[in-house]
Amino acid sequence: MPKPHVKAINSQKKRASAPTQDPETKLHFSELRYRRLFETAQDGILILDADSGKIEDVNPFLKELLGYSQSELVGKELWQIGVFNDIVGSRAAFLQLQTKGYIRYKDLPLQTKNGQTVEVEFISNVYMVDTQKVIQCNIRDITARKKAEEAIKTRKQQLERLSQQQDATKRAMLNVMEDLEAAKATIEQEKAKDEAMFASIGEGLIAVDNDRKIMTVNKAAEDMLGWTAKELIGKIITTLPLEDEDGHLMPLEKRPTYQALSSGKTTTVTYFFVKKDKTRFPIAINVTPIILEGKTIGLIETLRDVTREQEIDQAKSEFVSLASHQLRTPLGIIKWYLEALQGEDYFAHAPSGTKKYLKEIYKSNERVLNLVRDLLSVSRIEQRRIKNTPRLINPTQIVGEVARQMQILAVKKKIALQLITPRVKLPPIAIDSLRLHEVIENLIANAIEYTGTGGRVEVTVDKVGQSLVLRVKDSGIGISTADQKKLFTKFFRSEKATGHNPEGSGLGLYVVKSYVEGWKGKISVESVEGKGSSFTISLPLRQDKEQPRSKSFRKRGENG
Amino acid sequence: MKKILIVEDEQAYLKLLSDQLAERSYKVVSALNGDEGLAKAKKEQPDLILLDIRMPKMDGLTMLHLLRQDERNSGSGKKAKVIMLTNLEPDETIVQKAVTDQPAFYFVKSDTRLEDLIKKIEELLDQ
Repeated sequence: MPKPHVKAINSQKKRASAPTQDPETKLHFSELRYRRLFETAQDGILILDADSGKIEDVNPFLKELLGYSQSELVGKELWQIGVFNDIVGSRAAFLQLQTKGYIRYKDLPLQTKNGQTVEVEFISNVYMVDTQKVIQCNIRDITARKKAEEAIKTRKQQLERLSQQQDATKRAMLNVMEDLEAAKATIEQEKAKDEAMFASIGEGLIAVDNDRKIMTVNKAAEDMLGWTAKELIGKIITTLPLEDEDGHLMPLEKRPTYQALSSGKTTTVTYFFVKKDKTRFPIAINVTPIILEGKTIGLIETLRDVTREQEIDQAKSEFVSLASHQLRTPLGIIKWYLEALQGEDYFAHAPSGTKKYLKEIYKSNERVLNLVRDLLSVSRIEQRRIKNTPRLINPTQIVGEVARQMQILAVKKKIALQLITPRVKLPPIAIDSLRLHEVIENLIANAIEYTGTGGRVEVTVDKVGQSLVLRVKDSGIGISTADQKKLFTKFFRSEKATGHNPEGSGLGLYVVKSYVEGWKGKISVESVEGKGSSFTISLPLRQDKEQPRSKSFRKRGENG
Repeated sequence: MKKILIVEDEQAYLKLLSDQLAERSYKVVSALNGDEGLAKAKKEQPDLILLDIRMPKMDGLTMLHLLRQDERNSGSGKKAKVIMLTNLEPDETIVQKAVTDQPAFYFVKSDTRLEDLIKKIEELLDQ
């Protein structure tokens, strides 16, 4: 154990502390100082015999470091004790030291007695002490330093790795940022394009959210509606006034916004819009739902001012009306002159050719007259100039009158025209009797026209629920399914009908349908080709509640 | 002999109706507009007037209105039967007024057979 030894030296030092000045004493002091350094140094010190390489002295630090005692070390050759791993190398190093006088290993592993490895810095010097060569080895334990160095290295590596990772992350982030920037630029571009389109499009556009709140309004819509975008945005669109032709405010359920939101389908209507300054104009509104993942998230409303279109329509109808009236006078004159001619006594004796020619002229003239009459009806319908003068009438009576009138035509073709009326008396209906007359006449005339000799025509009057039902059923040529769809359109004539009767104008059923719809009724057709057709009209017996007149009608109807 | 006044601006109609009615032994008086028609009606006291609606100077409805007024004022008691002849549709206001306010029959010329018109005339004059 080194401690008592140190103590011994210390005690020696104390004993030698007396001041003496002779050279012998000086030497002694120097030796003592050296000894003290040797004993207390925090580096290992090893003194070797330079010639033999044997250990002469070892300081306490080194003994403790290597775990050997003084006796185990002193007198031994350095490589004998197993301190060095590489014995051959050590011997060679010793030889090198002997010749060079100096050797230094910055980093040398030494084996301790208990088998551990200690990293040391190993510096050896050869000196001359008097005439004798001595080797002093200074051995510094660098394990801690190594460990610190290792730690630093590891840390540095970690830092490097981290920094690499950070670099990678940073690069990735930069890439993402770049992509985002690019995407943003594209979106901005698209947005700018959309906004430019939205702003510059000639039609009024309004974007509405799910709660009917106005989100965006373009310039055309502002101009059209007379409200600024600022005033409109945030407003519930259905609070903007929309009227029908007669100036009645449209109820919510009839507004296209409401319909499109509840149905999820595109809705188109034409109403009148009341501007901020209270003037009104006809407006065509198209509402398209914006659907995202199956859900309606809002609407795009397209607005079009149709004033001009309606003016053109009006002008067209007026022209037709005027032209028709102008045509009627000469055609009417021809008609009566021909009739007068045919009534003359001498006509009975005229050659059959002359009679036939006059008949053909008359027929053609009638055809043009019928066409003009129908054109006039159409133009009146389109100008909404049909005068509807409802009077309370007995529907059975009117239908009966028409049926009797038509009986003459039916008899000519040997067609059985039958009127079927209910046993109970039908309530009166408030309707324009002239128009109703026209409608029934038209249907019965068609039935007779398109039914062959010996066929049947049935006219039924009945009440179903709160509706008056009129049906004209024939056993005629029938109408194909494809033609049934187009049957009520203006000027439509099926090929079969044209072949059968080239004189029809294709306007009769259009006029009938227009009248029926004007009464808020419905008309439908059922037909099997070759077997016959059945036209059914259903008219509401009760009028709409909002019409004040209807109340009195109903009262009178109930009382009567 | 029953007297018929025809007020009609269209010469062809006027000629035909005059001829046809004269053939059937009626006394026929004619006028080319409402103004002239009113004067002739007052002077001739016809049993029946065939009256066109749209005419220059004075239209048929005005003429009828003034005639009815005159009949009431003069207290003559003679009230001419009137058949409105027109190419206007029966739902035109002017026609409706004539039919409902100043009782008259009406026919749309181009929709009516000449024979049916003459039958109506004979029927009214036989009453």
